[in-house]
Amino acid sequence: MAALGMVVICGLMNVINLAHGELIMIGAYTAYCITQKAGMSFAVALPAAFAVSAAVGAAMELAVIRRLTGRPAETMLATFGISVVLQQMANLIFGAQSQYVAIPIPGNFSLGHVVVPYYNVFTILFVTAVLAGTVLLMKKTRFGRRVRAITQNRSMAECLGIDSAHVDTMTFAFGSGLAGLAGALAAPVKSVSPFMGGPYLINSFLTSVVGGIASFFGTTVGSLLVGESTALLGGLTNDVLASILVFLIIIAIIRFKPEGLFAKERR
Amino acid sequence: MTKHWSLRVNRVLDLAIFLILGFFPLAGLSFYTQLIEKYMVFLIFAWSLDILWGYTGLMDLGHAVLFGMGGYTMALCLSAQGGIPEFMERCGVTVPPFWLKAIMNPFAAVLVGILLPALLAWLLGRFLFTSRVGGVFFSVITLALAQVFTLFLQSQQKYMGGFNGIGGLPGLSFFGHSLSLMESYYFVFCVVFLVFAFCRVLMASRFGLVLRSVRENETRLEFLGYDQAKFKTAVFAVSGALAGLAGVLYAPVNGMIAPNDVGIEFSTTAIVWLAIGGRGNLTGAALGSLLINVLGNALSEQFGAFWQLLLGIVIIVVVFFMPDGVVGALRKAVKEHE
Amino acid sequence: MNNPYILWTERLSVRFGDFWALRNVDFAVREGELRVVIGPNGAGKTTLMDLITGRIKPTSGKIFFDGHNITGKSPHVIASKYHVGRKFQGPNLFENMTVAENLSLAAPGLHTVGAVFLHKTPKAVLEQVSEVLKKIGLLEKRGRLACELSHGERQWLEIGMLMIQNPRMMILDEPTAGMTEEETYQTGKMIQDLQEGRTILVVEHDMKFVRQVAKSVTVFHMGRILAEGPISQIENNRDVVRVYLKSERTEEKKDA
Repeated sequence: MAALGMVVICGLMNVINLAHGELIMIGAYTAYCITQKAGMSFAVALPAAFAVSAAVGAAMELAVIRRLTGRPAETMLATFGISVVLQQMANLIFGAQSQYVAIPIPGNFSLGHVVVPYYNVFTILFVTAVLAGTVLLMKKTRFGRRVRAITQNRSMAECLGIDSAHVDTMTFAFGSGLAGLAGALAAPVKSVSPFMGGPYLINSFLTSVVGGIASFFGTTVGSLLVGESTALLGGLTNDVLASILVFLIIIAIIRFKPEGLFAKERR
Repeated sequence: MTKHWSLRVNRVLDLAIFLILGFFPLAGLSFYTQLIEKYMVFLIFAWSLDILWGYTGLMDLGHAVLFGMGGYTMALCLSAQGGIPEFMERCGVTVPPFWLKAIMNPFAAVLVGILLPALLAWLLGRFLFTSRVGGVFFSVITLALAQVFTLFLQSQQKYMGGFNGIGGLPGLSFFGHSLSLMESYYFVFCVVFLVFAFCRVLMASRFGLVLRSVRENETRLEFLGYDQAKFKTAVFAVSGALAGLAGVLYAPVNGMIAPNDVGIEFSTTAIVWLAIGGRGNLTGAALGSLLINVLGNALSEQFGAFWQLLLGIVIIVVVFFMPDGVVGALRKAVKEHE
Repeated sequence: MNNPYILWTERLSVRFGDFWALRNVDFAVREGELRVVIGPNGAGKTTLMDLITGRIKPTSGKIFFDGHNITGKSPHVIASKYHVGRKFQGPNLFENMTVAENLSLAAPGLHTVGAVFLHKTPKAVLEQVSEVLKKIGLLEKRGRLACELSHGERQWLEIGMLMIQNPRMMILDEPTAGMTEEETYQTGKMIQDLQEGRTILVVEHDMKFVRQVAKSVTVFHMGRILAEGPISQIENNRDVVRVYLKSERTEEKKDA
């Protein structure tokens, strides 16, 4: 169930960033550093993870991604290169073995047959809050309006005085920050290592595609669907078969509804 | 005649590569000869990716799956030569499963190893390319496919050897006669040469012309009367067959095969070869794969993780400054020299 | 068939969200006709061409070509089986391929995988390519990449591709967009050369050009046909003048 929360955040992406997994990893490591090394509370770790990942993301956007707009293959290659660099740097700094972050809210309670850890509940609540916050951000704030203006009609937005490059960087930084949050949240449950980003990457891609790349609501539902079905099926058959089935279903969805399940109609 | 000269760069490199590969074993370094033999097998894999990505523009992030299907087929066959393979016996298998019996004959295994991935590619192509599935989706789906494939192999302890894969495979042998290193090496060399010739002829034909136009402007092509889905599926199938062939050779040449060899990592490694070497001309793929393999082998002994880091940086640099790879940069340099 | 029309639509409509791009359009063209379609931006001209060539599917209504119902068929079928060729607004070429290669690809037949797998381009096609190169004046530039040509040359290349495609009906979407006066005139002549019993549909804005080539004109406005007839009649039609030509003249004044 904790995985659910993770996937929700991972799904918020607007550009093809193969280093997204690594941003998650960075968030996780930040959490590790802050809690274990510096001995501060988890509450500090969360915003710190957001900030660090956002900063890295912004740097990526400025240095690399904005130079490559309109060239998806190059963008993928470049971000792949970045992911390798980030992985190896983490490897060099922290070593390859997994590190552990203590669960900030230990203990669990029972709901009938099911044992539910407190931390998982916290995660879900927190993620929901973040989601609500993001939606509010997009709908109510000036920043959010600018982002939506740009998505709908970039040149028009620029004519209206919106600095689209600046907004791009901010958006990307925000998305990266969210990834970092995800990493920090995942850290206590999954352990931290340089190469942990990989599986999250694929899942994020798939969920954003299933949900519809332009729609937050869709992505949320998408990730819920993906996470839930994997868990459900995993319970019924076994993990591998579950993954295969989910994968097949996703391909079918992509094939027949490339805009995702909740896309807005585009001209 | 600038086009003439820059094509000359390709021909010179091709010749150089084949000469070096051809004469290498005569240097007598048997350990390295074995290594180069493996790298030659990788050339076939690189070319299979090139015709799909370099020429047609379809970035397959899970190409190693097709390679792995060929490899595992051959590995299963080879390990079943003396009856039930050891790793299966250890898990309590007493009767060979029907599919194992089908591929016990090496010739059958080779055929299956080549045709099965081709079939998968063909089916996938028919399913994906007939909708407006864009390039990025294709990449994401192939990436997911690679992950599923790896998971599958890792979970099949009984039949596929699980995490450790299948090891202890004998080298190439024909009609009972086991090939020596030299014989094996030159056999692979001949296959590599034939594959190269095939790919060149195929890409120089009108088929290649249509494929390049798929990469350039897919919609325009449709309006000229070509069904782009059929062409993409066809090249995907051919690419799958070649990747499978590479896998079939890999199993005996490498002596073992494991899920890690045939998953996302190997797929992305091949992408890196082509990105750095240059794509859309078989030379770049060959150069990239050989260069990176040789350098990687030499440097990672000494520097370990730094090599990977360096590679990551090189990729980013190449994307910005040498979008057509090393071969592309050389051609440009020659052109400007004119 | 007694039907003189090679192309006709029946109550053709297409809608994007709430917006009707075309509404119950009955459009018909005789075989061998050179018809120009004009109208303000957004009137539905290009949408009509997209529907005919299969690029988009109608919300309702039918399209017939040469007696066959081609509604909703894919672009490659319409191009290959029914021999309909299209030139796009703004040159739409294979940029990193040579002029000769661009033309070669447009050659008719040879559309299936079987026809091209391991086959070199037949000599007959190569000869056709040379001939067309001469007609469009690009013979010396045959080895150049399409992206290296000037704008006018690129438009001509695309027209050349249409020539070699030799379709029964050609659709030209704003063929003179971005051209100089001299180039526009040349294009007009090329199009008249192209006719030879073929049906040609031209979508255009440049009224001078329209006057040069048009015999009959259809005017579109807000997704419907506003008027149709010979050029002289159209220019004097009050509705047309009010809706369209006036804005054209204001544009011409602005450019002057």
